[in-house]
Amino acid sequence: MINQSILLFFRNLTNNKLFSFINITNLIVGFATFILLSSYINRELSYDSHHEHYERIYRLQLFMDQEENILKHTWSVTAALGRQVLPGIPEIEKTVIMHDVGDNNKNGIFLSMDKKNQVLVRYGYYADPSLFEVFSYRFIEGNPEDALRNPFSIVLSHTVADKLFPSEKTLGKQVYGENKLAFTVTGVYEDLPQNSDMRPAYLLPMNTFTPVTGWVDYAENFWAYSFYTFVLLRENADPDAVDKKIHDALKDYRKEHHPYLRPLSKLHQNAYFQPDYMIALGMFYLIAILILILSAINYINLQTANATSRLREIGIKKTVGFSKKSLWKQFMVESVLTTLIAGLIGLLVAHSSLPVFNRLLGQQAMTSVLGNWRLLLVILMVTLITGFVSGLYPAYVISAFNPVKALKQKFIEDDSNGISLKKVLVTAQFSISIFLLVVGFII
Amino acid sequence: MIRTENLSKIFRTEIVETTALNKINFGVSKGEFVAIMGPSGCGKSTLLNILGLLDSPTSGRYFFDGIEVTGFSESQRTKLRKGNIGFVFQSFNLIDELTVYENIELPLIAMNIPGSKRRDRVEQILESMRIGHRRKHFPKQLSGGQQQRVAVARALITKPKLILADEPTGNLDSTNGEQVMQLLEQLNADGTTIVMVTHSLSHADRAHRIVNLFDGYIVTERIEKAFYPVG
Repeated sequence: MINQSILLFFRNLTNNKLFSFINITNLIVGFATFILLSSYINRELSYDSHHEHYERIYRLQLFMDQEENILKHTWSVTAALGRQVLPGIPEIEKTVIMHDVGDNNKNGIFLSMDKKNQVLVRYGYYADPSLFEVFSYRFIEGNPEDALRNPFSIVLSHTVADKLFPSEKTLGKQVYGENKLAFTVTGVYEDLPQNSDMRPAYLLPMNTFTPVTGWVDYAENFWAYSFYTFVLLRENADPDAVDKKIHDALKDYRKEHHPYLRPLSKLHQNAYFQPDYMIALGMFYLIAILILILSAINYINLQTANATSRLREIGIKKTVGFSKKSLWKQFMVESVLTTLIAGLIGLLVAHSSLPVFNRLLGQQAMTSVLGNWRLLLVILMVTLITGFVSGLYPAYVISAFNPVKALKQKFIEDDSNGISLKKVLVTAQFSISIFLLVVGFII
Repeated sequence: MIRTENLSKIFRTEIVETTALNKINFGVSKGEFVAIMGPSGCGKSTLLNILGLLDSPTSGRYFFDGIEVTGFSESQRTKLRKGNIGFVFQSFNLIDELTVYENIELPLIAMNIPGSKRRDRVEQILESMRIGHRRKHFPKQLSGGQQQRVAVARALITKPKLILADEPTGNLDSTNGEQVMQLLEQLNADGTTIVMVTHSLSHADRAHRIVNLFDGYIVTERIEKAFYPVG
């Protein structure tokens, strides 16, 4: 019977082209929007999750308990904390200290391979060799164990290496910074994913910091806040215990400043304990679900309204002995098949709409919605559930047709004067639409 | 085979109450061929629908093959109808999206008969109805007579105890109508009980008995041919 249901489904699809087109397009729009927003939210929530030790990595931050200071938190800290205080804490397995190269975020610096063809590069950092033990960098050339050991070495991201040495092996080659300093390439790593809080374009070893900047006592200076510090906690270590130990580490210098650890998993969404970003993500998620619900309600109403076209078929089937249950199953199969087809096309539409979506967000947020198998599984489950739930009411209505009236093609009008599911669905549709319009207007 | 006692059917709307059948006492023996005649709106189709378990009476009793089915639920009626009653309609009532083969196969699918057995039975009936060469065609590609042969084949595929035909020749020309009547006569000769609603006296004359309805009442019954009950 399932085979026959599938056969009838595809034949009805092609015989009623306009209705099928409207019906499936409605679902495609709902699914595509849901998939895009879900992928975006998933991306936002999975920042840095590609690092192997993701759950044990923390960033050192400062809470500045000063009423007059608007900025209450900062992740620019003194290197002295990382060099003098943190090594004494048994819960901490590794520490990484980093610093911007030059005026990092504003102008960048020029790198070249021959002092002639200059490439402007932003987001370079000085970093301890332990960086590669804490974070997961995939090396294309060189060895992460010693790439940042020697002074005046440089480790390049793949994009920068390709710009400087197109289609060449780069290990051992010279790179000039601002045509003044020469660095030897000791490694090339794959670009970190877009959803990384920090995406260094290149790295210089921390032992090059003093020769380049002339800053000799940075590791003893408790007053200079321009360094970044990450720690890898030991397995099962309690970060709150570490917080207690370092809370008053600056009491002899700035007693109102209190260091603490913030987990890597929270840095992108909520580094400073402000819920705004999470609220925004929550709103996005709500919008995604509401749009899907809207599509499902549309589908239910369209299917129910189109029931007259199936009257004869139902009347005949009931006459020859098909039970209400078997007819219900037939229409449920049709509903699930419809949503599966719409879901698949919706996935392709979402994928091809990414450039437009990224432009709307003003960033290169995503390059693919097909890469995450877990998300694809969730989308498949949502599609199946949508098909099942959306099919319940139309299947119930259609399978309940009186066979005599069905054969005469007399549609059973909804003559309920009170509350009916159809009225509830239409009201819900309008309410959701108005809500989305208002939200869209506000945003 | 089938018997009604004081069977009535009343249709009610908010404004009007219509008595379609009024205390009908009607019976058909096994192997009998009965024709029901009467003007439009006299209750012929209503009676046929109740006899076919597509509808239930408002009052009275209905016995099918010795079992009282009056208070049966829809699912009980469907279960009893499956395999026991075959229908032939004036407008053929074939499913346009299914081929001839698939239309005939439908009652067997409803009975959960496995695919290989279904195939054998459908092939057999396609040949006996001389429509095997059209098995992959859709109803819209057939003539009226061919469509009705498909409908008859579908009605017969489960070897039912009873065939109910509601004006089976109504949409056919005389030649095709004659062919369908010959089919029904042959089926009856082979032992199938048939109840047929018709406007055509010449077709009704083929039956053993003609029952005339008027305004929901049986007004006359006429024996056309001698009938000797089976068993």
